Amino acid sequence: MVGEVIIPVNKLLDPPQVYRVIILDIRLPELLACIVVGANLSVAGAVMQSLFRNPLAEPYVTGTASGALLGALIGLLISITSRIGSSFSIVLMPVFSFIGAMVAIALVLTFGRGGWLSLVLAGIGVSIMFSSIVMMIDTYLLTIIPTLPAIVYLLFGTVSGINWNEDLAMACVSLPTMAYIIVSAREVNLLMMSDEVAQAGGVNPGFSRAIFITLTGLLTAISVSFTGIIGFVGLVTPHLTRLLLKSSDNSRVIPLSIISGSTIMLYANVVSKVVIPGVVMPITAITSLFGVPVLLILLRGVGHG
Amino acid sequence: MGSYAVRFVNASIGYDEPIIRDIMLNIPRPGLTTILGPNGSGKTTMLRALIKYARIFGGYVYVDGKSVDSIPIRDLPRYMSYSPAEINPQVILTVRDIMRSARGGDGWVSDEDINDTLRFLGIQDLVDRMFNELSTGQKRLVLIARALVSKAPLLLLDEPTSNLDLGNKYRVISILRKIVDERGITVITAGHDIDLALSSDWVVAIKDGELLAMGSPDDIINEDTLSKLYGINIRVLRLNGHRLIYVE
Repeated sequence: MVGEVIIPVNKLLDPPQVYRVIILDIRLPELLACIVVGANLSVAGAVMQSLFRNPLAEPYVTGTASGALLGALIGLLISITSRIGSSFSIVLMPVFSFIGAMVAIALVLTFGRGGWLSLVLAGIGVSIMFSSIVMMIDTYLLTIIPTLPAIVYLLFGTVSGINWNEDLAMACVSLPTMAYIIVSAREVNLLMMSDEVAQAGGVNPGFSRAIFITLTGLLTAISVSFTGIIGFVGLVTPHLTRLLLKSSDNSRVIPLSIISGSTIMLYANVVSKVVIPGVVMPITAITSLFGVPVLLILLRGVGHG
Repeated sequence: MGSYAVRFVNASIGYDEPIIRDIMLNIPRPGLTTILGPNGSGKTTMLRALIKYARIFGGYVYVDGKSVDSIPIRDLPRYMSYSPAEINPQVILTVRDIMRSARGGDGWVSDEDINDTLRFLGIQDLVDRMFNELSTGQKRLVLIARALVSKAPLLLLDEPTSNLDLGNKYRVISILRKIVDERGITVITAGHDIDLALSSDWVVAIKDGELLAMGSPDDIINEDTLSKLYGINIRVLRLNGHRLIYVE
């Protein structure tokens, strides 16, 4: 059990009260968040790469995560500045985050139609635009409520400070969404091949693509709402999984991505705590450090056709 | 069941605007029909109209006596299966996975049907090979097998012999004949292959979105029709029952 306080393994079975609180109220919620968020982002990445037939597509690169973060902050802003009360942020943040994710993906799909690079460039553009607005809102929130460091953490992408209620909210949205995607994985395969093949196979490509995009938006939004942007897990995990399976069959890639994505997030969480002893680094710094080289390798591969 | 597998009745078909205009055409069943025409003439658009992927601006298109407008997309596999010229090259699937992605009228196809179909086409040894590592000829056969495994009465194949060497081309043509002759299925292909047209039961000649002619290979593969179709002077010599086609 690694963190700012290191809990010896021999104390795990019968921990003293202080360790018990750390384990039950801090470490286990973080652990569960890592599993759910890693799975969510990986499934969203695997589905996006298949739907857009673009190896670089994932929530972070397509700007979906930035849209979700802006939406989450707007939800937070509304809940703390209106009469509703900040306790409703657990509902408002995911709802607005989902709206933000869908707006971002709609913009990217509108302006990024010219091929794989075009989609990525549109994603970068949308990300920069939303990140600028996020900075403005964040600065405003910190000005009016100086004792609100959680918002800063949200920008960084971290599971620190997550609680059981937030884990429960994530699980309630993520589990049925992932279950539907797994059951429909063969439809994703058809869309991955070509739209004509999908249509002749009885799948309406426009409608079906819209459903799956909505579901990836949902998985991204629920993750970003509570942990902020965690980059490149959605990019790297599906590619590693395909490499392991030597197949892009989504009926196997998606379930295995859940396991590998969760594992990557758990390791990234540990690394984020031990890289500088006593300092908890944002997880996204760790995932991006390992994810960007993969992105560059993929860019080189795609660039060479 | 009528005697026509497909009927185009004053049909205008396209995407943003019509590419095929006011076409009248009846394709009999069973049999192998090849749609010939220059690039951009609307051959693929005609196939796409059948799978509802192209828009019907006017007139009617019937499959098995039923207007395609009235067939819900989810029911299309009951009526037909479709094989594109190629699929997304990033797809890394085994031949078995490619076959498993086919749907018939009763849902996803079974492993037993997959094995039977691959055996029927003589490509059962490819079942565990990666699709992206196959030769172009083998890929075409697998895509034809994928169309066939759904057990639909109508197979639509877009350019099934393009980019194939002579040996593979004749292998594909003989397999299409086998499918039609032994299974009584209607196969409609679109492409540029005169040899495939010569092996077909019917040939449809399309030019600039209009029907130029339809008939048996003897009716269509002649100097007059081919010259009109492609806008160049084409000569057809007959030698020991075979045709030698060249451009003057």
